[in-house]
Amino acid sequence: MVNHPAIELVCERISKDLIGGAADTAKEVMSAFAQVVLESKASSLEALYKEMDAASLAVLKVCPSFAPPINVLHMMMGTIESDLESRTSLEEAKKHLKETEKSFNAFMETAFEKIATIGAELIKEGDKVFMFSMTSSVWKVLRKAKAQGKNFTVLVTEARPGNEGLWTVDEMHKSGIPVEVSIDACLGELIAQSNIGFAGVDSVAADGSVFNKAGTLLSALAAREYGVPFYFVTDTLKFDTATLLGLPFRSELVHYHEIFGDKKYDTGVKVVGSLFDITPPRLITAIITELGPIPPSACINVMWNMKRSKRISELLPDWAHNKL
Amino acid sequence: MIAREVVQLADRFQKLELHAARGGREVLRVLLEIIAERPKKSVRELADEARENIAYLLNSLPPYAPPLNSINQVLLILEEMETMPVDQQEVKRRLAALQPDSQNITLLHRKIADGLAEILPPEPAIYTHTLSETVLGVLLELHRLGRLTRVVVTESRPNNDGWTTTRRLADEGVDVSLTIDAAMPAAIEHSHLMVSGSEIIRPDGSIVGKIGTHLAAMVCQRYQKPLYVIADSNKICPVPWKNYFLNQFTEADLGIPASITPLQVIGSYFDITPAHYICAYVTEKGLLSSQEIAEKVREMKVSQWLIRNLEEG
Repeated sequence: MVNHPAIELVCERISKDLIGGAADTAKEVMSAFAQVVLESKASSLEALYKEMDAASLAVLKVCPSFAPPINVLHMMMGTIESDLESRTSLEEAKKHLKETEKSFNAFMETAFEKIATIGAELIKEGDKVFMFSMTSSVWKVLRKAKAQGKNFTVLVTEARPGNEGLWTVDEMHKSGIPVEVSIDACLGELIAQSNIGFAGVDSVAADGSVFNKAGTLLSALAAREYGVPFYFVTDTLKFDTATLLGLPFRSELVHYHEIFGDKKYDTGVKVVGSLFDITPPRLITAIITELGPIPPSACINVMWNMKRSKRISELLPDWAHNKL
Repeated sequence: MIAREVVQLADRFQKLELHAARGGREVLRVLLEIIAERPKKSVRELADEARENIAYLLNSLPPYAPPLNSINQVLLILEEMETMPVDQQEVKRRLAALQPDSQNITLLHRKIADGLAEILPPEPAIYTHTLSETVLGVLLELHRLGRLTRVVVTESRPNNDGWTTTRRLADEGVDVSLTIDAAMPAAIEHSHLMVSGSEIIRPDGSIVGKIGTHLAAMVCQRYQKPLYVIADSNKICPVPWKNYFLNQFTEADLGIPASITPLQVIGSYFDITPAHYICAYVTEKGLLSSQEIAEKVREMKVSQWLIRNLEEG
């Protein structure tokens, strides 16, 4: 089946890594699906389902280890599956899909503001705030705290190999928030002098563990060692429902060129390691979401209430093992 | 008067061009040379001039035990000789006996490797952070003995000393991998144990090491992996020196042009790993516990002038 041009376009943009991050990818996927529904020539609900199924497969084939776009697929496919079961008319089903899109957009507009407000409450006047790497959700928390008139200093490390920590330095500078930077090996020293620690999230698992940039686990370990509370900040769209099926996070490896650049060694110097790590629930103080601060053990309850599609759940094992 | 050689040596220390063991040898060589070049002075004048040069050197010395121990040895001899009716030739004879024998380094590594080999599991996978002359020498000896299966090294920013360890081991055919500092937990989880060098073994058994060592030790404890400090006994330092954080990072250490000036860069080259993280100290004198380190320190003499100088900063 030929996919709608909007699906072709979003798949190309995902493949070429042209979209900023997980949330923006989710927005673009939702927008593409909305166009599929709006411009569909399908004469029956079954035919529309087939179009959406083909679109889902195309997106999954290129989708990296981001939970949000997959949750969008769950929302849209879950909606049409419910209508198929209840034998709703085609027009009624299209209305339901439009409502799903609207509620998603409303969520995206309000969730981050709620998260920023909840997170900012944790920052106190005069605090030293450790943050690992970069993530816009933590930046929003910090900006909110600044807007509330609090004076605090952000401590951050480089976050090799991509040095995303230096983006945080730039962002804090633009926001007028004092920031100090060091190397990753020094993060224990930074955390020891911090009052609170924050990190972003790539995905949250059903057991409350968090998948994120390598170095997050090390930060959480150091925070536990020094008795510093360590929070993760994310909207619930990053809760990875694939983990309810027992599927692993999909990670990527550190590549030789990311460490050595063009430098070549004749002998067998190998580069190992993952670009991501998993922080276990016991090292997490709470996950700050739009629903409030959630203890890791409660993440599964949130997932149980999220819209899930049978078809997407069928495809996810192959997606998780790169077999699609 | 400060000798030219001392100024040059201080400059090399400030730039961290000398590692601990070599620093110890260089300090001894330079001090003995400048003392030997002063034939017409009295023992007191000789000692005063040596102390003046040592004070200059201490201002740029990184937290390395061997140079401090070399300085301490020289000062102890001078302090003893000042109270005795001896001529300067006698002083020089006593000092000349301190000359380190560089031929013994391989033998030293072999002795430490033999001790470590006894406690290694079969087919050991060893994690290490950064570069240490002793750790490298011992790992190569273990490889020669057929007692080393795999090594994982973290790069050890900011000067990436771990690259050198990796390359030197790979050159000798060791199965070695390198990873980023942030991936320490995975590297340690998949190893049997960690070996670490040290710049200083302090009287309480804590060690001063390259930044990241303390962090790695914490991870070892979390994953219940033993941490062995691999060091020759010259790293045990009885001198109560506190100024471990002389070497602060600068913008240049980030290695990336900063878009913001002035960029507030924090942190230092060295950290302190408390003794409770350390399983044992593997030295040429055998496997030592932190209590045994404390006992050894109590047996060592420290120059009173050195203590006063360091306390006064």
